[in-house]
Amino acid sequence: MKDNIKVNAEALNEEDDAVKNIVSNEVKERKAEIKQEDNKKIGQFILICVISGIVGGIIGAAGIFIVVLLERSGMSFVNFWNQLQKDFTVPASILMIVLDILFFIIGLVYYSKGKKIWKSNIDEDEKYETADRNLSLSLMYSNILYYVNFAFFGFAMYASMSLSDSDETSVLSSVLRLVILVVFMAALYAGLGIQKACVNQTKLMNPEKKGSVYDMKFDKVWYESCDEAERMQIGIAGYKTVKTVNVTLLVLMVVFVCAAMFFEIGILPIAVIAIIAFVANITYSITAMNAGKQ
Amino acid sequence: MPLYNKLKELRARKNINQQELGKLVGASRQTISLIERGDYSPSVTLAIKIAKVFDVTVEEAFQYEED
Repeated sequence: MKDNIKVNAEALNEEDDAVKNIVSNEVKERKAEIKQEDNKKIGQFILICVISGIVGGIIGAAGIFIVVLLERSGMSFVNFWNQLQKDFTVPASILMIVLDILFFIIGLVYYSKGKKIWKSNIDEDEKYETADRNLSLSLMYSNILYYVNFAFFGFAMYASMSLSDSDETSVLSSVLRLVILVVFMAALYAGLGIQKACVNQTKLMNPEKKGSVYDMKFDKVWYESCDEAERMQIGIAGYKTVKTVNVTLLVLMVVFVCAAMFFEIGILPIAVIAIIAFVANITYSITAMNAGKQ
Repeated sequence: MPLYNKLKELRARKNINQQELGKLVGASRQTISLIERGDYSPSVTLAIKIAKVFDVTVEEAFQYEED
């Protein structure tokens, strides 16, 4: 009996050793594959590093050149920048009005097109797809309208402040600020109007969709009313957005770090980019970890 | 995509449109359209729900073929 148990135990040990050997060989093979994959890409990586270094050097040299040029002309970068912002007052206000009207009209055109197509008697698949695409484009332009409106409102307000140096310009500055404020509020209202119209039209076309644009939790309610395919589309769009934003932030960070070496730009631009990058990456990582648990 | 389906045929037999099928299985009209065209492979849950609506097996509604 004891002999039998011993023989069985030995057989099991041998089997264990064989399995361990197979696993060990598989790990070795996988390590070789990983190394091969890394080796394939390392040349490209080094090349990009070298090119980036050269581009950085050129930007640096150009920066020094501009600083020297400004100093020779008796103007510091701070003075030059302040002058530029002052000169930007009227163009920023005009641009704000022009861009607000432009994006509002584009949004409105796409919305009307979407609505018209949905009411038409074309093939059902084509009708829904084309209408949906037009409504999505309308929403996209109304979002652009919001960001352009906010950005130019900020530019114009900041620039108009530089006009209040004397009594003569302070009246002009106050009038300009009032105009800017009225345009800003009107554009916000117009943008919201387009978004409401698009969302309600989409809800009309898709009865299962829920959410009101006046609800602070609109995104959550809308997402919850989406089915698996739509959530997958949102996931793909979100992934692409994170990738694009990361590249954009990296480029901006490099630009501002380079600029900070030569000009007095302050720490605000770099701090803002760092905060956005930090929030985006932390949110992505935590969401990805939690999504894995579901 | 190697997932083929008979949804259009099954829908016609039951006389329901994409919107109605979507409502019955808790999906949007667009998703049903994507599945019918073979542009989207539904989850197992959704495939079972669709098969149940037509009173057929999942294999009867969907066929997987290697490329």
